[in-house]
Amino acid sequence: MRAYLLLVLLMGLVTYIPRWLPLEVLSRRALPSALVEWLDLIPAAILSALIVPALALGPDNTLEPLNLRLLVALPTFALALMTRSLGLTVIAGMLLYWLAGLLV
Amino acid sequence: MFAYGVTDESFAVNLSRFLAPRAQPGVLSWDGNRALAVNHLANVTWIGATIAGGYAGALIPAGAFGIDYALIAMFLCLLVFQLRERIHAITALITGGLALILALLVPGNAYIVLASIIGATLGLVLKRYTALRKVRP
Repeated sequence: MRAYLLLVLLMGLVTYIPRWLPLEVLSRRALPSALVEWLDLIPAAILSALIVPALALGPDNTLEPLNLRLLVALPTFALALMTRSLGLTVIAGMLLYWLAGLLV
Repeated sequence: MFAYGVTDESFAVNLSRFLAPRAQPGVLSWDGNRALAVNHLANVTWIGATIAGGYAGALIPAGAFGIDYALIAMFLCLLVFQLRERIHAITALITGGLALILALLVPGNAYIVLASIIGATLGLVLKRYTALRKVRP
């Protein structure tokens, strides 16, 4: 039981440090402008790197250009662009995916 | 305190809010307290939803109501939040293509980090290059 509690505590510490350390170290100094501009592009890059393979690859990691996920992503993306609403986009995306799944 | 609440989604929401122009109609001005509220509300919701999900999840058949698509739709919208200038869109396009190629070549999830680093670097080079050409055509 005590070893278990210690384990939970240490796990908490392990996930806390990588979140706290960059904030603590980096919030006190000015970063070079090239780094700032690079970091500015990182979120768009990561999100795209997460989304595109998730949409275009099938379960066995092969190219699957015309699947339901990709087709539903187009109107969902357009809706996100128009409304800029997270909740609306998620609900509409789910609904579209669900309805499209019923049709196919 | 702020660090403890950081998760990928709340980070993305906070970032886009912090960067939003101040005092624009319909957009709340953002400060540290609001960001803290987002983080910790998200965490409380997470805990609550995990418990609720544990009990209710047994009642819902797998894949009902397009639930599988919630994560994709959310990331799509977070990406839209990030597309502030043309260079962001170009970077996203480059990185998406790169990620697709790398995902086919590299085993595991390393393609995400690899593609992001290469894509953002290419984006920065492109941005600097076009800025230079504007100054000296």
